[in-house]
Amino acid sequence: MSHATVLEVDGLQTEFAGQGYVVNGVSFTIARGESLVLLGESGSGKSTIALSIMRLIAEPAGRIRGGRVVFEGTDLLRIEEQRMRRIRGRGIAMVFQEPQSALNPVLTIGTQLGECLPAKGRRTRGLGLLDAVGLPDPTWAYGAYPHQLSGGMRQRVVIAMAIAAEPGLLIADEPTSALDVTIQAQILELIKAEQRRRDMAVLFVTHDLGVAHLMADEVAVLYRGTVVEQASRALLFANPQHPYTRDLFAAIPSREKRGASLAAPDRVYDIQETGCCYAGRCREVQSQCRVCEPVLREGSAGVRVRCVIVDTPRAPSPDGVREPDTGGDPAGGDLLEAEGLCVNFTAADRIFGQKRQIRVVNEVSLRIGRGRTLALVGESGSGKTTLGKAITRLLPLAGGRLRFEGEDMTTVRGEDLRRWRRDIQMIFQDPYASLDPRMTVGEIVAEGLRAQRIMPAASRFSRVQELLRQVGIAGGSIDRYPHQFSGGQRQRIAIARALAVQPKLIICDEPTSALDVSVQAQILNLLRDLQREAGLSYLFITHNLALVEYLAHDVVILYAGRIIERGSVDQILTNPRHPYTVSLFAAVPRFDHPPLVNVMVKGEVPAELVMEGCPFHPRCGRALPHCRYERPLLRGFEDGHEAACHL
Amino acid sequence: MSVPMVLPFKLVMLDTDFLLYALFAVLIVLITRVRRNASLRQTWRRVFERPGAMAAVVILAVYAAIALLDSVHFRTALYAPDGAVTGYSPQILSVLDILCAPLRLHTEHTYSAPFAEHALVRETVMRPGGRVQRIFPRLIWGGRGLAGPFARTRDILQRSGRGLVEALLVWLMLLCGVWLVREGGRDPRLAWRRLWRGDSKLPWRTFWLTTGLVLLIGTVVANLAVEYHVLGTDQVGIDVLYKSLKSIRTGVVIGTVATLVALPFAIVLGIAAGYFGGFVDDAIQYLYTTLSSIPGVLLIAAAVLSLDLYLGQHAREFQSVLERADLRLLFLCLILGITSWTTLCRLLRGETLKLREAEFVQAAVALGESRARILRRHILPNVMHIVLITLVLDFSGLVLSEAVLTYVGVGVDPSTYSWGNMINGARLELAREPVVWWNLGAAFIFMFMLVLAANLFADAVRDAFDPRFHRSS
Repeated sequence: MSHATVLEVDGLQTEFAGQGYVVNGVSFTIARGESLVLLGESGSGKSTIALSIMRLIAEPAGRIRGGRVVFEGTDLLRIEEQRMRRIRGRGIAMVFQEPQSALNPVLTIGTQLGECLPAKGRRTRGLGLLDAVGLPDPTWAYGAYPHQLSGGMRQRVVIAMAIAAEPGLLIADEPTSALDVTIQAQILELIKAEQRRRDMAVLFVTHDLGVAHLMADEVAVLYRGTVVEQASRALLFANPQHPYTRDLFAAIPSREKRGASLAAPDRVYDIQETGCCYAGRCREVQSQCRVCEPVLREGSAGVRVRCVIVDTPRAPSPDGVREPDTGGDPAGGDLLEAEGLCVNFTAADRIFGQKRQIRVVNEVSLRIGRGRTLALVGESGSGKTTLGKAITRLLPLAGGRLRFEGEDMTTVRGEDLRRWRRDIQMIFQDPYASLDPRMTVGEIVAEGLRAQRIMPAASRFSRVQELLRQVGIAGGSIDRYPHQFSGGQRQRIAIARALAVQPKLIICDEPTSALDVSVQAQILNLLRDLQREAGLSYLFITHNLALVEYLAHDVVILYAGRIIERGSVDQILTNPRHPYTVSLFAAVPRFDHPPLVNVMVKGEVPAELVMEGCPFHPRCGRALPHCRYERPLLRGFEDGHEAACHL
Repeated sequence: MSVPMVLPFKLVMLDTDFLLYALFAVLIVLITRVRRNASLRQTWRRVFERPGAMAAVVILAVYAAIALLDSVHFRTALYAPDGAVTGYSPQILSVLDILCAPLRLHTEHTYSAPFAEHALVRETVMRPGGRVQRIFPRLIWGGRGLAGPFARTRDILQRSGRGLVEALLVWLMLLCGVWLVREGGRDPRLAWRRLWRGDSKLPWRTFWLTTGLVLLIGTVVANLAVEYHVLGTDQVGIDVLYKSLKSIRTGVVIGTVATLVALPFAIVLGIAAGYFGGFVDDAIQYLYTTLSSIPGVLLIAAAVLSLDLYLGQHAREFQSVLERADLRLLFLCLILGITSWTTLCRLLRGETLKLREAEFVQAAVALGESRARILRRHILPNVMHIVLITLVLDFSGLVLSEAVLTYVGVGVDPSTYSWGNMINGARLELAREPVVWWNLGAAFIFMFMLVLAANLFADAVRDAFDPRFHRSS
């Protein structure tokens, strides 16, 4: 056999106190030089599998109950801890999601990397590794502390540490989830390159279908602790078999699904004691599914599916009803007009009392039409959230004008400002942080009604009930606290709170980035329905380009606090002008069609703002000499399509 | 002849009495509110789920009960020979004094060891026949009823045995009553077995064991204290057990009232600094940085010494020594409170800074909520866990600091019974031959039990309320 099996997991079961079996009978093998992707949503047990293989489950809360984990001929579950310690790092290495917490902040990179290397020639080998993982200045990085490195660079260091001991198997647990797409593309490429070079086996854990497509030779789809489908990448993406996999694909927003609602489950968690674990959500559920649990059956061409209706030819998963795009009417006029907005952050030097102004949003102008959705796209640090808060006047403006329905709102204060707040609301990114944990759901939703004195206290109760029903939360939840709800439900409550004051514009600050794909689909459907019914306008802040394709009418691309391109969604998608926009689209791993052009952005967003010239020039692959000192202004291409580039 | 209806006593309300009552009233109101609020009840359940915390609460409750009994002050009536009330005694007594009357009244001439029949110090006596002798005289009260020189051990055992039986009886009655009413409705035998095995959500077995132990100590000591000085007597012959019991109130007053004084400063200034920022923040930070850079002892010493001066000049305005001492105690609480708010204030400022940027606060601003309401509805409830944790953690520290300050000489009035005064006196006693250790030992045991219980309780409260230790999701 040319490809020796490196890891064989057989019937692995891991139990957590109070949660039951989080991993329930998972089996797979990985051969040398191959990569297997564990794909699943939160709670599917994908990270627990990775930790179980490393025997890093925190006891006594969690316990491996059964199965075998055979690594190069040894069953890891049956050896003593001392031997296991030698296998960790040397035999199997792991890369975690948060590069921050994987590195010790008080030790230099060199010291930490050196711990994985033999004493002889430590420095030379360490520098070699840092060079291999693509750090721009290995000698400097070797002596640097983790906080001096950016997130992407830290993840590179973590990967260098993981491959230092030449492990036979690399486990990567969502290594790019905390990173921007352009950086993600670089890190994924790095892992693939190292895998090829060292002929490593890779177990890659992710929730992102695009990433899975890019990284996998073989994909195992997990649902509630069991593998529901396992197939080679090509087969799985061409013809998903299990209803869950198919629903997963259907829930992903894309350009093709514009105007249609996404396939989303009515309920996300449905505890099923017997039968198929997916029976509660399955569209094709049959009576036998509720009684006996299906086995993982070998289908054609090595596809294994845990479903009774395997291999029967089926129609593609139903797409929702397609309705005409209502918001596409630009004649509705502008609801909000922002002109040359600037926002400063004050960095106070405490010791000397000097205050330094850092301009985070610089001369941004945008318009949001009635009933339309403007997508504000940018990576972390681009100032997109700051801009959103500045538009709601949550942050002070350092310059520019803000007009809402023709009235100047730039300097409105006091009672007028309070009244205006009714028209413009915000939905935040983290549904766990945006609801006061000490207030009941009823109090939270009624907050706006009270603050805006919309109705007497007596009739608020029924209005709150109505709002909760509108967002799909049971009316009986009114006296419960936020922690009793799941992330998706909390986001619905946050939406109800915003809707209570009947706003005209809602700023959605990455409202789905903390949620699973299927829950995201629910929230997007809800937002879409609300727009159609109430004619709401959205400013949709996101870094997820699939969302932009799906729901935006107009797009603004932000880089380092400046608009570098704007236009209608079609203009931007079909004909991006700015090299940054082009590479942003190219960096998103996609499974539906191959990347347009393979343009990878060099490096990362510089820590210090680029003061002169085009802010993107240090990373631009097509930078001209004068890009360095001459700032490009927005200039028009087609009707309404503008980009700030000298090209 | 009908005697006019006059109460045989006149209530006296000292300043600290009033504060203690108020505190307990607030505590009761808070408990009822917690019981009504489901999520708070849940969190408090987590505190009591710990056996250590349950035991600590029993101990704390005993201390609190003694402190309360010692806070009901009155003056007894003075009677004319015909039975008419002519006035009230200048001596202010508390309910505890009445309950412990034998302890209070059985004073000797000077030192005597625990359970002693004879004094510790030789006295010169004139024997009949003019012979002068230096002997250890018999105590007036200690071991008075003993028949012979060798009856003591037997008597102690007998009294302890009686105490044991009494404790057991009371304990069993309580246990049967409470436990069976609560649990025994279905199957009494099952209820017993569950209690025995500790098979309940809250550690009731620990509760009953601790209660039993406290009862046992209480009854045995009560039986012995009638006849002996269980913890000996001090230099002027006062029973040390009585002194220790009276000191409980001082400790509890200092621990609670001082925190109560500190709370408003810490909460108002901390939240204001964190939320408003800018000039307000600078001013408050300046204030607490300055205050915390002055050594606390120095500030306290200066304040207490100037109070002493005031008390010396206005001695006539106080009706009794006790009232004077009480004012000094109150003043000490005030000054301790004023010097100890900075830590909590700093914590609250930091937390408020974080909360101000929290998305739910931003959402409230975006909804047009007023500042006052945001502070009250969003900020305050979300920092209360820090207040609570600091409160219980600081309690034991304040009790200990009373001892230290009194030892240094700037603490409570020398006439106030306090562990600090007992320790202060022990400085010379430890240099005697034979060593007089019981003053120090008694103060140590009483203080140790209180501080240990408070710390155990504080640990449990912190674990239950600190989101870093526990994430509810």
